[in-house]
Amino acid sequence: MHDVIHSRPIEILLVEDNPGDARLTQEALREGKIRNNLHHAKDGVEALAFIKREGAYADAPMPDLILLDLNLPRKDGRQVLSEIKEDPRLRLIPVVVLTTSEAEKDIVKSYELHANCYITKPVDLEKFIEIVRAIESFWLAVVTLPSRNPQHAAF
Amino acid sequence: MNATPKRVGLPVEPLTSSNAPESVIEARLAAAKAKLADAEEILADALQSSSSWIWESDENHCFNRIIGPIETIFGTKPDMLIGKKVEDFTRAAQDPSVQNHFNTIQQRKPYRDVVTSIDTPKGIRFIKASGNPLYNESGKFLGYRGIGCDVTEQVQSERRANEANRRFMEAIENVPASLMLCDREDRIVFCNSATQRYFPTAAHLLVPGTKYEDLLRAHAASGFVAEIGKDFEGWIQERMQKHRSGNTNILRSYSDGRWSQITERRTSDGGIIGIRVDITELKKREKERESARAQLRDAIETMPASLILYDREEKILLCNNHAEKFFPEIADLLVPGTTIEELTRTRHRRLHPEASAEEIERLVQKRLQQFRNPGVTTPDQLPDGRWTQAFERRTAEGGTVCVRIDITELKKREKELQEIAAKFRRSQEHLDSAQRISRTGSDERNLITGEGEWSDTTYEIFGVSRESFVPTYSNFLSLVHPDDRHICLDARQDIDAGKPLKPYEYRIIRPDGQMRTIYRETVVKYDEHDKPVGYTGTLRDVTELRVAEEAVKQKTREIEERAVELQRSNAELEQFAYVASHDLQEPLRMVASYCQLLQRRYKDKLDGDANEFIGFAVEGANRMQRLINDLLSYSRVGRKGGNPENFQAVDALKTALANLQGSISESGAKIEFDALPAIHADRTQISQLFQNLIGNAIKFRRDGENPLIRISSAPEGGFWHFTIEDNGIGIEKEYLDRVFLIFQRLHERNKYPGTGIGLAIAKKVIEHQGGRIWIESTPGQGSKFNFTLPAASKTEKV
Repeated sequence: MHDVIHSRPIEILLVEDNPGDARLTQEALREGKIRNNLHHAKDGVEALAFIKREGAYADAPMPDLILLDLNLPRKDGRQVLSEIKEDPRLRLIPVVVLTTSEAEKDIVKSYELHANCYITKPVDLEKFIEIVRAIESFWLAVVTLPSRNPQHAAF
Repeated sequence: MNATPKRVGLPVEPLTSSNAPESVIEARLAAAKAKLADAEEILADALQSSSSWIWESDENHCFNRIIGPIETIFGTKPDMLIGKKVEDFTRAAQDPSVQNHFNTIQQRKPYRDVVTSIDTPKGIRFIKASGNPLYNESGKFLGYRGIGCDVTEQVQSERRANEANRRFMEAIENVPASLMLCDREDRIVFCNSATQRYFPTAAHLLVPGTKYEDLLRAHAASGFVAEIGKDFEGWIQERMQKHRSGNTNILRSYSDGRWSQITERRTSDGGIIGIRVDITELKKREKERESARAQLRDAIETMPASLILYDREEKILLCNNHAEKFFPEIADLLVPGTTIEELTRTRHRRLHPEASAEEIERLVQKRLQQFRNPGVTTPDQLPDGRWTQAFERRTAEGGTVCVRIDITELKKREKELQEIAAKFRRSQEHLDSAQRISRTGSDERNLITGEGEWSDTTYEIFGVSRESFVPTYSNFLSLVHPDDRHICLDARQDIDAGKPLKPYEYRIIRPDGQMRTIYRETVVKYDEHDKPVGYTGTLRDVTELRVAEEAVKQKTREIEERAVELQRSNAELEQFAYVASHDLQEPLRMVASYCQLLQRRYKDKLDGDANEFIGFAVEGANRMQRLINDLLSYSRVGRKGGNPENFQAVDALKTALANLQGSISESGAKIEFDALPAIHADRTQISQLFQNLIGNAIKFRRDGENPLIRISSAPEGGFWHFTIEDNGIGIEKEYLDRVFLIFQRLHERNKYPGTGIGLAIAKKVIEHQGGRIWIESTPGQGSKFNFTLPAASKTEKV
């Protein structure tokens, strides 16, 4: 099923423990132009299981984009980021860190772990919607990503 | 000689061979007998008055007849000797001469004047005997007849004479001088063996009969005599003339370095007796004496002192040249013969021509009295300013020797020494009072003798008195607290081992029971072999000091504990603020975001009130977020102590002004500043500081007036004192302290927006850099913010 990229909805994995935030993101995306399937993981363990298609997620789709909060229960977002970027099969998935933290150490740490982008969640809803849309268009429309062929991804 | 023995002697046998008639014969016989008897009587009488006797012996050499005064001579009756032999009386039977005699008589030879000794009741007597053998007609040996005489007296006197002669000769041989006797023909008669020493090259001529002149020539020609010149013959003639004069006294030196004295005198019989004595030693000693005398003369002359020797009449005997240097005014009198009195008087007269006779006399008498009681004189000053001092002594001969030396230098040194001593005394006094005031004592100990010396204050510190306490080491140790004695003993060991010694402390227990703490510093003294020989040290009573120090330490500990506590609570607080602001953000966002979402989605379905309420909710959430962000900034100032560096303050100011550009142009503010210094602080925080303070000044401007803001600086110790002066609304005095508190607002929000964090952050920044901040203000006219910041450090480049 690798015909046309835009012929299928984009698979987005949102890793976020706060349901309010999750919903807000969902609402923001809904107002967007790109067709997407938003999957929601409530903590790091669930997120990794989803990405690696483990257990209940055996049939889960491979996400095209991951929106990752840092402060997560069970497995921290930083740990999730680290595991994704260490895995050759997964490291090509763009990861956008989306968090409330403005702390410099969090930003630096995230980029050290090869986060593709770091964004602080704005309080203002309009701004938040703008940001989500920007992410959407930048990562899913503007940036050309490598082929998602798993065989190739192995390299 | 005895080949034809003849008949001799008296007729001892009856004359029966004649043919005369018997009567005639008888008559003739009788007459003959009478004649014989007469003759025998005459002989006996004659012998009786002499010391001789006639004897006859038989063929066995036994006496059979002795006529003579035997009894008188020997005390023995002649009959006692009859039938005995000479051997029976003599002790000298074994003598070779007696043996020889026995041989002679054995051979029946005649002998003459044989002397032998015999034992008699009158003692040993020497006899001299002569004898002839007797034969009868038929030639038969009958014995000997002979004569003997007593020669004891002659033998004894002869022996005595020989003995005397022998002793005399022996004496002459043993004389350490040479004796030579020449006869009137000037031939050697005698010379003792010592003479050979004086004529070693002509010893073979030292025999009786040699002509003296021959001996002399051989002697002189050998070169042994030292002073013979080229005129050998002349020398011989001269010497012989002296010799013959019989009155010679010559000193002669020989080529082997020896000397002799030759004395010759005429003897009574016209000969010459010469005596030669070895005077080499004498000469040597004389030379030594002479050289010693010369050395002494030299020494006396070269000594840097005057020396005058006076005889018992007080007249100069000897005077060295140096005396003139001290007494140039009487140089003409410094000669043997001048008296001390004359010297002194003339000197004073010449030196003090103006002085009265009485005065001169007084000085002379004073000197004489001194001179007559010799010793060390008091120093006197010469006219040229030099000081001299004389040392006088009586000599063994009753004279006086006076040695005078220049003591100018000594005087000078003495004066210097006195000054030093005075200075030392003064400093000692200072030291004593300094010790008393500072409660510091000192001590000194000689490690060789063990003796110690304490200063007054040391006694005071130990609470003992100089009179009752001897500062031996063990006495000292007895005052040391038993638990601290090892400290002192260890230090003492370190001194002995030559180890460096640090100051140390120990406690003492004074006799009054007080315990004191002593601070001890020691300086060890070493000899030239680096062996410790003693030490000096100071002792300070630091009891009160230590108590105070302990209190200070306790306080410091408390403060430190409090500081740690404070730091911890600060850190906790900051952590709290950080965490709180983060965690607060989340729900805040929810509130704001969903309110907005409501507005967005349902704006048309809600009424005006609902929309207004949502507006308040969103506004509240926004303001809360600002507060949280400010709180976060505030806590960050503490979290980041910053990276202090040297930089130009003006750079930070420019950054701040750039950030404030909007409000500056909007308000029409005018910012003035002088040249600003380099400072040592965190650059970012200082920019923030300027921004907050200038922003503050702009914000609180007076209505209708353009803000005028002046920034200036002045040095203050290691800091710079900055001022930011404005023409704003000013602050009421009662609020001056409150403006630096976090979230403190003095004005209503609408007119002067803001959370009230700016000055709180400014204060925190300043305090984190070690400075301080304060405000002076006149309400309605303006405010003046003051703060200090560390000056740029020298070691670091700006």
